[in-house]
Amino acid sequence: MTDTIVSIRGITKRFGSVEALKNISIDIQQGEIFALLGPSGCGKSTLLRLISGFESPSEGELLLDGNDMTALPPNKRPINMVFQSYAVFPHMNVEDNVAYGLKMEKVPAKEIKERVAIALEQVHLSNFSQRKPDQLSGGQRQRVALARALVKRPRVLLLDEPLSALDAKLRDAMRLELVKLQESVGVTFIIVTHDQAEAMAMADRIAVLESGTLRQVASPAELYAHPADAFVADFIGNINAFDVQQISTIDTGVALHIDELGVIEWFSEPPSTISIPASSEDKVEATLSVRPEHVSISTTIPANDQVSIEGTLGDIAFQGQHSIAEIRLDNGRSISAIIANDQALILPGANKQLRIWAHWSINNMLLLPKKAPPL
Amino acid sequence: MFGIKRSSNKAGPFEYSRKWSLRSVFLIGSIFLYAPIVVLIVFSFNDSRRGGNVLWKGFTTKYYGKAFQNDELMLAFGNSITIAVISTIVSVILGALTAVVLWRFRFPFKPLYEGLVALPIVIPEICMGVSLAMFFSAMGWLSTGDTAWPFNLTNIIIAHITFSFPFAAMVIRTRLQSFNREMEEAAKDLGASEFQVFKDILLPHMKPGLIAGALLAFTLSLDDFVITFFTSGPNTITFPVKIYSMVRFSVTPEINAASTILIIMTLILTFVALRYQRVDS
Repeated sequence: MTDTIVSIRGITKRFGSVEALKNISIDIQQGEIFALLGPSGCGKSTLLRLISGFESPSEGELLLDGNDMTALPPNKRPINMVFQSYAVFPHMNVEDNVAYGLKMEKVPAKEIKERVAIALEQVHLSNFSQRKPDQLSGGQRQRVALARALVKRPRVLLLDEPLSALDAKLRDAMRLELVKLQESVGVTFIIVTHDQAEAMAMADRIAVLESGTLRQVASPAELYAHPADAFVADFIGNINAFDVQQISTIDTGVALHIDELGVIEWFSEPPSTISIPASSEDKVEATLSVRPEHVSISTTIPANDQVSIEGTLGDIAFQGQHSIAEIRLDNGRSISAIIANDQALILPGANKQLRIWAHWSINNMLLLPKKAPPL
Repeated sequence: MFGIKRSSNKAGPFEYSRKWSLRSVFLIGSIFLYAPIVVLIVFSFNDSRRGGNVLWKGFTTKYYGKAFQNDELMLAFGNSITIAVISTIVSVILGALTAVVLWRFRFPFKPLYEGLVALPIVIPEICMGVSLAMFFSAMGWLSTGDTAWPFNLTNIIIAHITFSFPFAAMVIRTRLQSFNREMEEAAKDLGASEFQVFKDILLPHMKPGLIAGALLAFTLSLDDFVITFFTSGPNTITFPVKIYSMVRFSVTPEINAASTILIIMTLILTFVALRYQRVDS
């Protein structure tokens, strides 16, 4: 049983003549971690500021628990935010920082003390209550910001790029810790991030935004396996995309004409977002893609049931658990394949001009429109 | 054997403090700047009737006693302190408000307003002095000195506020540049009203700027001569103006003593302000 906690309905936000958000509608469920993901300038931070109340929408409305909160100022919304810079008050110690929001609420001093102690306990900062922010590390300052927001017992906690200011090792640790914290307090988290790995690792559901439009809302696994279009597929993980030149109906499905791969028979219905043109002259806005982890390489001609393409072996980048091989196609384009390290070790360097075949099963391919209509 | 070998005689390319040429420039510069002050202080203890006497006639502190018993000098000193305190308080309040308005808001003709605020800093003091004197005379506000203290000093106080509040505004505005606007939003997000944000977040951030601004305004007021000279009346003499008139009459070690007191006061103030700022941060 899930309840909608925040409902974004037909929100449009204009700054002068620029449309930062175009008719966005999302329902966010009670108790989930929801990520707003997109490249910089996609409008994700604007959307977060709209939810927090620091911006007001040009059109549309925002509901919290079914009640309209579009006109409420930020200090009247039961929603708190962890800012990108953390914005910890430098002249107050940790305890006073965390207590500040409760003092504004005029909570009795005794209760403030208890709730602050609990909040500091939750973020493992009990021993640091008398420290000033300049005596804390970046990770600890972030915990102060978290405790300061959570102590208010908000209905929703907003996090603006929560991990971007931390170093790589700490970032991974904090990802897990944030998820654990969310599970223990049960507050709905809305996270803004440009890092797809971060969104995939933490979120229950992800909304992908691109230049002010909503591309897709789905769980991480769903986004990865069934991206709505080529933009989402490329943004979530890496992908090797081949443009489809022509598409024609055959008995069992469709035939796809691709310059680089020849004619590929696709034995199922293409997605409804791809229109099959009546004339073969018309341009087709579709791509057939395969993810690098599904691509294998061999020095001999692969079996017939595989889709294959010939090329020259390029650079091999060692990644730790695996290696990424670059295959230079004869038309000048490159595709990539994830290969095992032991295979990478026996392959020669890029200067040897080794001819190889990249191949994969057609079942691993994604037939996607170049751009799906926005949600 | 793994230690870094370095020559102890020759200065490295960036070891400026070890270069003899730069050291001597520094030394000569320091002497030119501070020798007159040192001489002034030393000769305030010279047991000679003439302050301009460069011959050491023995140690005495009697001129300090004389300076303290000089009623006119002490009255001038009291006037100076009164003017400095009042003009500092008003300048810092005006300066802070100006700084916040210029930093926070956008409004029509803002560049013009910014220029006008900075004007008293750039226009020559003599022009300020003459224009203020003409203004007060046109308004019929000339100091007669017969109104009650401290209202007899109103003209000078107004003049001092005019030239010192732009300095305070500039210092405070510079401080505001380093304010992280997310801090203001964070406070509002936690439930603070506009006024609470100002009181709890912005004001503590401004504090070092307010102290520096106050210090600047106080010293500017305390040692101002030109503008004060044009706006003071016969019975409202300030310390620097009084010293000037004493010098015209005759140079005695008493003037050295009085000047030394002024220097020491400024030093103490600076020290206290710096100390306060350090504790604060």
